[in-house]
Amino acid sequence: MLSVRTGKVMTKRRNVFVFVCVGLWAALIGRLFYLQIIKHDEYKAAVAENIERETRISASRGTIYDRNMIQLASNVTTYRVFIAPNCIENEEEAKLIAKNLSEMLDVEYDKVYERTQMNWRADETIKKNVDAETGNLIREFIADNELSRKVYLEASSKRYYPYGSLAASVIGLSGTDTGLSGIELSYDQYLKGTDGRYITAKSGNGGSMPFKYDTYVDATNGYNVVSTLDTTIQAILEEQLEAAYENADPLDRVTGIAMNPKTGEIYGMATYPSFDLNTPYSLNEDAQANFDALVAEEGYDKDSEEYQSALTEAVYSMWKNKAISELYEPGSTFKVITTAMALEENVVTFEDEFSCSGSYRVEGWDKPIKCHKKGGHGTNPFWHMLQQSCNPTLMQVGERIGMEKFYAYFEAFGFTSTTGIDLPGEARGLYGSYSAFNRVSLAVYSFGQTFKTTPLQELTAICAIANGGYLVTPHVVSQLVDDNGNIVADFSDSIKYQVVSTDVCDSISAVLENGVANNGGAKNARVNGYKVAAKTGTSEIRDEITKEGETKHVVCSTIAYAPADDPQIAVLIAVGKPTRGPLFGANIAAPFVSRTLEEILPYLGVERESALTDITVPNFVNTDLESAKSEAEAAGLKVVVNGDGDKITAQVPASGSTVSDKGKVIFYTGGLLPQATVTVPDVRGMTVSNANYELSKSGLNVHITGIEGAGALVFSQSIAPEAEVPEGTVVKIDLRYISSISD
Amino acid sequence: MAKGVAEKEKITRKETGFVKPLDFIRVKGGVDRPMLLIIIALLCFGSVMVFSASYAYALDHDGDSYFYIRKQIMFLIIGFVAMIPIMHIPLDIIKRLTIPFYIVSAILLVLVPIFGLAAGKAVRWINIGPISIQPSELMKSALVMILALYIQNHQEQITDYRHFWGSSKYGLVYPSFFVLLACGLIILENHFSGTIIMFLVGMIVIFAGGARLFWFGAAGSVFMVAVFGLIMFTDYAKERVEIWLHPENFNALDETWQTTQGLNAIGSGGLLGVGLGNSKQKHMFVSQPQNDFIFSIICEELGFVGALAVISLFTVFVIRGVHIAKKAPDTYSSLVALGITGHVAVQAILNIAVVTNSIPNTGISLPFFSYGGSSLIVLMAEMGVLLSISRYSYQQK
Repeated sequence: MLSVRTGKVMTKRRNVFVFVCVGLWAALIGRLFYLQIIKHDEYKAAVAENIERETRISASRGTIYDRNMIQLASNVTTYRVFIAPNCIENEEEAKLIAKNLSEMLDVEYDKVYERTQMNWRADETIKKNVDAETGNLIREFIADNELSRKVYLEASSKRYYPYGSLAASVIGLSGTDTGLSGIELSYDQYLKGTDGRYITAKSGNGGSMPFKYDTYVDATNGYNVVSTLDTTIQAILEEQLEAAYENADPLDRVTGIAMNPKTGEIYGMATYPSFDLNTPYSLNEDAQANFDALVAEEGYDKDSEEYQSALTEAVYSMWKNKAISELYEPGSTFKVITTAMALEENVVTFEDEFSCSGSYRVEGWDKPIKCHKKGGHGTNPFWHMLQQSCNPTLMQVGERIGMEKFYAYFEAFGFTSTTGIDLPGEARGLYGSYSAFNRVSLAVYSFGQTFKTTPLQELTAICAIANGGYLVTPHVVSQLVDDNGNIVADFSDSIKYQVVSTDVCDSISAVLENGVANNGGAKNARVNGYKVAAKTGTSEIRDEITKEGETKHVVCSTIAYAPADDPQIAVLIAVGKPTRGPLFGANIAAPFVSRTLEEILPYLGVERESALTDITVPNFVNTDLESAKSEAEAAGLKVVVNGDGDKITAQVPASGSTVSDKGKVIFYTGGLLPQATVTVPDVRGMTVSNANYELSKSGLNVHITGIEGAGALVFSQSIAPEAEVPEGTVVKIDLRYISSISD
Repeated sequence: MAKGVAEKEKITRKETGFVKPLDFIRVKGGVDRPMLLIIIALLCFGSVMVFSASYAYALDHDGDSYFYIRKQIMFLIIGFVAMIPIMHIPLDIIKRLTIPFYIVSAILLVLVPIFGLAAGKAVRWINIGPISIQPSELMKSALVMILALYIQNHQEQITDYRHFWGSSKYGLVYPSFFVLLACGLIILENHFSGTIIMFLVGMIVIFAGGARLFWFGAAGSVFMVAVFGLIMFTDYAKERVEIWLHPENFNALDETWQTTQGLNAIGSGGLLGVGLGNSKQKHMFVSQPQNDFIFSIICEELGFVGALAVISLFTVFVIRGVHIAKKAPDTYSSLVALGITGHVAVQAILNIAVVTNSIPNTGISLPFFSYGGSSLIVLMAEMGVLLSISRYSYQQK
């Protein structure tokens, strides 16, 4: 059946076949060698990349503390609640989920139900930012109903600011994991830490792999920031800023700074109105009013882009730390600096006599430059002229210093640079270059006009006088601390250089303190029992001018430091565009500086030099009449008894009230209760002795606060005139220099 | 004839009482033992790899890791049930069944597209009871057999090279009709890889049958032109080639996914592999890793060494298959043996070439290794025929 010829051919052909097969296989083996041996590493890496899934482990953002380690910014856990509609098995389950989640999360039932029906989705968010407590409820719900593959909780961290609006512009706020403003922004690189990673193997469709393939890189938490802020001082400052705001009803903000003049540590820094760091995107009342006015004026539609950008701008401007970013002309407070230059250069002494006729002519300016006092300050020694803030005197002093020296000191005091505070957004002042500096500029610069600076820069320059001549770098953070409490960085060294000699500074402080204690322009900054050095200032805002070329608004400010001979604290308060009251720094700002210092100084442990005369009334109710009598008299209170019982059933004033010297206490015994029998007299505008006499005569107790001194008058009384009150009720009177005190 | 061998053996043993090592290989039944061992080795190796490769996919896809291996073993048993009787069918019966077998296969191939049209898409399977049959698999064997039969009947004319037209006509033109009919029917299914395999297997038999070499030069050219034409004018093939040459132009997540992941598997295996069962790529990266791309998982788990083992087994298979063809009693059986061996060789070479991205991706399974129920049964039936032929190896001609 097999022909010989065919057999021979077929043998050959079979060999060819084998040869071709082997050849092809050899080629494929070569190919495999190339893929498996030569390119092995490349493919191995590709597979590793294929199967690796990285999970980020968020580093916990550092906490911000105040100087007493009170938390100013911390983290709280919040949850995102989401469902996996694709895993929901039936209608019953969908309804159960919708019902419970809508109740627990306060979301409409229909909305949740709608989401449960999206069965092609694996992740439908029901609510974000759910607090830990609700999160726990949901966790229980999941466990109780075995819904672990259907309802999920995703934990994340949210920034929380325990004090809300306190020091808002200094602390700043943080987004998901980046700082947006304030310390949160300037120390972001330290606060944020380094995220960790969890690398695990996942199959092609994201499932888990049966073998071990884990790498865990721990997250490094951010450093904790210890700020120089003091929550107590900050609160005191903010309270007084608000009071100043209520008092003067300014169109602009009220800004205040409290700092340690020797170290540059900022104890408090604030702007009123402020905002709440926990709800940073809702405008405060003021910003809202301004924004509404703008929207009304421009006619923006609510959905328009312009509306949104205006809103964003309003929010950003609300966040701004105006103490370091908004410029103003410092005005008379700058006279302290001019004085320091002149004394340092020995071109003047405090005893030198100067004359003021109400104005002063400067070469190069066609009009005489006016003093705030039309009649002039007459001829007086320089110290008096400084206390009275005489412009012509300072112009003459400026002339003696000369342009070159003046400008050099101007630079040395830091007015041509930033202070270098560790906060974002610090503004540089506005000033003329030296080439454009002339005799007229010299004259007006010498009393702090026509150049602009930030409140912080002005305060820092005055602090150089307060601390004996050293320019410091103001700062809001003192230390970085890691989670174990180790100090990572310390920023306490802050002195830049000495500008003027300590002797010069001491003499200036003494003159300023003397002015406050006596009849100087800054006498409203007086604090009973403390040596306060202060200088007030009122400067014109040249940006808005009436048709007649007059300025429309002023900035009223006061800078004070105390004790004058060893300053522990320096305070600045500036009120922008006040509309009520005599528009002078001495009236608008100084009283609030005084009250700020009055509260801060005892807190800092600075002792009052004069003894306190105020008495705090103890509790006598339910005690024996006789023992109460002796106790009250021992405390320095006169005693009046109503009724004939042995036990005291009521007392006026109530326990805990403060009564100034020579107060009395009325006891009611045998069930008697106090009756409103006394009409409160109007003592406003009276001197302290007259007011005291009037109130005592009516049978009322007096609590004297504010400035005590010759000429100080009652500015306000705590109980309105004509009110009917029981005998012995305490009426608090607030004294200050009411009449306008120009500076 | 088989009886002859057995009787001879009995006599030898009775007479001498001495069993030579070769006697051990030459089994009682007379089938070629080395070939049987090679086949069993391939089947065992294949089954182990099907299990390993399908494990993760089965768990993910069917929720049961043993889903594929259980079915594979079931088909293996059915395959043995088919192979063992076929092994013992006398050659003349096989020869007599050749023409009916070819006709039945052709009819089935015609029916498939009709069923397919009803289903609205390309269908390659016919379900007969619980088993789905791929007629193109049957057709490969049928083609080999009918070509062998034809060539045997015309061997004198074919190898009469003095007559150019005569030898050409009988050696190539007429047998080509069988090939073209088979290819034409498969192409109706839009089964590109099946067509190529069919064509190559047919050509191997025609070549081995002694057709004029001149025509192979010509046919090779025609083949090239045909392939080129197919690639140019059918979008499916065109796209495949485009993906092969320029994988960067395609989204790695769909068109080139399988190729890329297959290469990742092969490359990451290295010299010794990541170890049996430890493949990473079978975890839903190489999709359906137990099917056409099983070789990539072998490469990953057993490395270059494992790949060499697979290729060596196939090489030994081919050499032994050619040996059976050489020892076959007549032209028909010789060509059938070679055709079956050639079929396995073509598929193995093409599959490995595809998996290593040496040629464009097209669906070709790896014989003995790829999971696939009915094709395994058909393959084992073919092996039955091959082994049946091997029974005549030691018969004196």
